[in-house]
Amino acid sequence: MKKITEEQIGQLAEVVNIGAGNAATAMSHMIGKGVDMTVPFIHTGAIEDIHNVLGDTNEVVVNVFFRIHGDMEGAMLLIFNKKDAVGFANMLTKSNHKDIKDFQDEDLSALQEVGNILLGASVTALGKFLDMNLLHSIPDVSVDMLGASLDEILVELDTEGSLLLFEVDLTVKEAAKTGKLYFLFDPKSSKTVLEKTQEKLGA
Amino acid sequence: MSSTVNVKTAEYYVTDKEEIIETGSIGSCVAIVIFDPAAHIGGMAHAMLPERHTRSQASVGKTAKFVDESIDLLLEGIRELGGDVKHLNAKIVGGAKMFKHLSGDNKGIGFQNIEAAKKYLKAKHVALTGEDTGGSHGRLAEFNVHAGILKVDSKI
Repeated sequence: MKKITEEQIGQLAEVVNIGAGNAATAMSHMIGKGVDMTVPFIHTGAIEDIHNVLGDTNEVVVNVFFRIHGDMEGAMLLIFNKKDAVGFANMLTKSNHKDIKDFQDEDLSALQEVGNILLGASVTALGKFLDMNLLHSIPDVSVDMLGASLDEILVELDTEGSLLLFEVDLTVKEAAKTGKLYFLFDPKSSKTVLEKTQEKLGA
Repeated sequence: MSSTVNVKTAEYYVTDKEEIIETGSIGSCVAIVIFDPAAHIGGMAHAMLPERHTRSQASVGKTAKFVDESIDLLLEGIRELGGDVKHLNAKIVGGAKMFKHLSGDNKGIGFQNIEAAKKYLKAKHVALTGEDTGGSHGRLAEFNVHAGILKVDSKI
């Protein structure tokens, strides 16, 4: 298989923008505040490279994730750092937690539900745009070092090929709280998504 | 004070110096420590998967990404530094299942990593003298080669 070119990565980033844009809108509706998003940061490499770029950190995060199946294989992740996880949970459950250690089950459920809605909005938008049948698993959540939770997701997707990763930051305007969205495509799916994109864009 | 060497995912390091070898963010991965307690030679690897699937690429060198190959690399490294490969000890850390639903009903890749490490260490006649494995939390490991002491920590 040929390597994906810079131009093609740009086209894939457009698609990710559509998905992330919908996540941002969903988030904005949910909390009643404006949400900004960054242009996707793109990384491609073997699982250990991606792990060492993103997960070479022992920082504790809340990681809500689900697998994407159907016409493509991949995963979507919504990551909150500790401070912002507490901020979002407090906003959603009207609590007054100081630390992630104060979290009750309902706080994690609330964040998991945020993930479900945001990631679900992204997948639906992607499926519609690409005219693909995309399914997703139920959301799963981990509170631990980012690298530790990434391991398991990465090896689920691919073991010896090259993955494609897009990262988008979502920031709540007035609250300065940020969530990170990660879109991961396995090598075969990157090609499929690319073909569909080119078809759609008439490129 | 001894210096500290950080081992990233899919990497390994072997030394005969008074050094600390550390690795973090161990989830379903497994950190393997092998050392010669008499000669104070030892190393650590941070492997992601039990073994390679595509055997066809024989020309591709061994990598610490896989449990079996990382054990080979550690043994080779210890031998090169003059360690006695007949009297080695090993400790393993990690192999957690970080997500409830991922990998469905089976025990997940973490469990497979632990099993692979135990099986392969046994095949190579290396005694497993300690482990902190399984569960659903991430780990950090710090190995003092000279003292032969492995410290395991978590953030949760």
